[in-house]
Amino acid sequence: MMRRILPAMVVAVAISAVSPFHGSAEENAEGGGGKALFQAKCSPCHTIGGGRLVGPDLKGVTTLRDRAWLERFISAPDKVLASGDPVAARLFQEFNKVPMPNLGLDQDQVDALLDYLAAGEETPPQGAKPAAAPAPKGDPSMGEKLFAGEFTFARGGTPCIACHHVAGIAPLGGGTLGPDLTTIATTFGDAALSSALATLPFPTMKPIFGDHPLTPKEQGDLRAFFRKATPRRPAVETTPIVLCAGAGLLALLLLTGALGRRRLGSVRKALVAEATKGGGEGRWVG
Amino acid sequence: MKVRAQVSMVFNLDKCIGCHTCSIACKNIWSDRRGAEYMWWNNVETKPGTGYPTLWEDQEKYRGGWERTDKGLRLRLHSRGGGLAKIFYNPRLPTIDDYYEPWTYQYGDLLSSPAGDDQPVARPVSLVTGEPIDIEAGPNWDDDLGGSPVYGAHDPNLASVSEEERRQLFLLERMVLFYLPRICNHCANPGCVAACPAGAIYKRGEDGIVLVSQEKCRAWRMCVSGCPYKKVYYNWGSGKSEKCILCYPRQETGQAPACFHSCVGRIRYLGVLLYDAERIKRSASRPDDELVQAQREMILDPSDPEVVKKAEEEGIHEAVLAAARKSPVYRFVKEWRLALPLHPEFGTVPMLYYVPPLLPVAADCENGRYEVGGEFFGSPEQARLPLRYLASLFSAGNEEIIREVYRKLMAVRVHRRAATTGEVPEGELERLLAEAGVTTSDTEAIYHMSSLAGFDERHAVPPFMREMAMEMSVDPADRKGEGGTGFLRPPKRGW
Repeated sequence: MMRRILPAMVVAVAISAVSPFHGSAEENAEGGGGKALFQAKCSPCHTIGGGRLVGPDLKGVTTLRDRAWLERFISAPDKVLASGDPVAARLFQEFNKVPMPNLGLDQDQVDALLDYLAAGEETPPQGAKPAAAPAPKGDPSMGEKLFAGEFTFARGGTPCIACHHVAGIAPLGGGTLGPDLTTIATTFGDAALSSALATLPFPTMKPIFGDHPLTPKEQGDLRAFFRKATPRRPAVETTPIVLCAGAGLLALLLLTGALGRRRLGSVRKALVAEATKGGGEGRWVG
Repeated sequence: MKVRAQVSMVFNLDKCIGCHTCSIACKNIWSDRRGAEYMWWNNVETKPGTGYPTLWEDQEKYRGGWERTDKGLRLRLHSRGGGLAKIFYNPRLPTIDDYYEPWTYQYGDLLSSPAGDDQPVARPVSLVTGEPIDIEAGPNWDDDLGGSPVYGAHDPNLASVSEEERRQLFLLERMVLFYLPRICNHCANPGCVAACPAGAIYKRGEDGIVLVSQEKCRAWRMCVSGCPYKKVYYNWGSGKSEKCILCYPRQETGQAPACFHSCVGRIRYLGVLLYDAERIKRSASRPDDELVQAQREMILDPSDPEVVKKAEEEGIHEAVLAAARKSPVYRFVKEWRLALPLHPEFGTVPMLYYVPPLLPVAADCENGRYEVGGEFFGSPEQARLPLRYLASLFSAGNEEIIREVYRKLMAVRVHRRAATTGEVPEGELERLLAEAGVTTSDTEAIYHMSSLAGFDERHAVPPFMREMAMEMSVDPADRKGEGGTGFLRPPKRGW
């Protein structure tokens, strides 16, 4: 077991370092409800004028779409997508089929966010990383162990495998509550992946990891693991399973057949066959 | 000495006419049910022949009974561990084809066929599948065909006779056969009981009848393999094994078992034998030559005061001892030493005994005179069936025992001939009696029991004393009030 509570506490201050956007968010936390909300809820996937992350750059979004649509979408993106809204559907296709999660925002929060977006304040672009806090270089094998729960998270978070699968992780695979994370590194891209790991902003994960965030080292390990997982393994390796099952079945059949050969067959039929072998004439006919 | 009472049997093969009335009586009472169609608790087979099921005597195939090893008696079927390993897979079972596929005929077709040029026929249909079948075998398929090249020629007992004897045996002019009726031997050392993993088979303490508990049977079918006589049958309908119950419900009401009662040739005798249970193992472990003698020694004299005392200590009722003293089986087996166990080498100490058949010797007809080679009545050596063949059946290969029986049977005949026609040459009877080691009063008694004895003399059914047997575990009065008879089974509900 890895017990790294103390170092983790020390490094905790540097959480922000993983995500450049997050870092600026803390600095400007008191700068207004909308801004704080954006930093907390949206910045893992969106920038304003900073380019695309997981989701689109939101610069000028308030002029691009009408406010009513934006309100509906931000408060319940899942419902809008499900309703067959053409814009939502197009965005979904465009952004690697990663749906925007329902963040459970109330009307006031939505209004505050929209006001903030309409104000047009830009967030720093992706590359503007504070040099003082580089992301720790992760160890993919350690990441795999953390993912599979072989090592526990320092702050008591639930192992990823409980809800997520990555191809080839374990004989029985991971859970199916969350999405398959095999290709998450390519889907999200580096920056978004980093910020997602740092904040775990998804509604289902919030209550689980809210009080048990990942340490920067753990984030780095997991990120390295996800990066490695992508090209290495196909989504589902069915061929070896089918081959093994087939070979096992064949072996069992052969074993059963071999055992069955020792079984007593029809004594009478063998007798009749032997006695009538020579053209139906028996041995002792005088 | 540990005295046990056994309802025991003698079949006098000299008198069996092969009519199968016994088989039919048994079938009509006990095995005329679904799943039991192929069973013949009583069957009559033709010897030489392969019997029912095919080659049942060949334990290389079926591995029934006991074998004598350095470590003592062992089941031939498997060891304890081996039995456990094979519990879901018993490889030593006869197939339905080795018994025979039971069939009936579509008699209805005879009446319901439309008018036509051809006579309607009743086609045979399988009682197992209900489909039309070609009948290929039956429980005594080779009836009266002792020389048949398929079944007659493959009798396992023929292995004991020489090639020349075998050739002679199947010459048309010398053709010979006899019948061998078989029921469960109710052995003193039953292989089926030893092989049963569920403990469902037991030998009743009071009368030695071997029964399969239909409640406890779990259909492992080890008993079918374990019995060297193949006299336990598996019922495919009920999923339980079944066997001859020696008609104990009839006996408990004082009647002879159905096959005994119905026997046309009056070949069957029933009575109590007392035996020493402590000697069972020793008796079954002796070398082949001594098996018959050892089994005779195991049987105790019911008139011996010491035996009577011990028997009473063991809780055998005076009335049962009285029945044992009247037992015709005791006289045949122990007193006259005429009746022999079938295949004693199987080690189960069978309690059904056979008087070997004294078949007519081969005779020539010369100058209009019928001659039976040399001696007046022929000699055992001239018997049509080689002594070795009968020894293989009834004395584990000990020819001397068969010769002794044959001498006695011949002495009885010559004595009767002297008494009725007086045609016997001077000194011949005395010579034969001396050779056989019997007196005229013995031969008279054997003649009486073989030919004249009435129903009650042949069947000394003991009082079954069910109340007394029951007393050991429950108060008979309680049992009478509470239990009724049979099993307590919940009724079948319609919902």
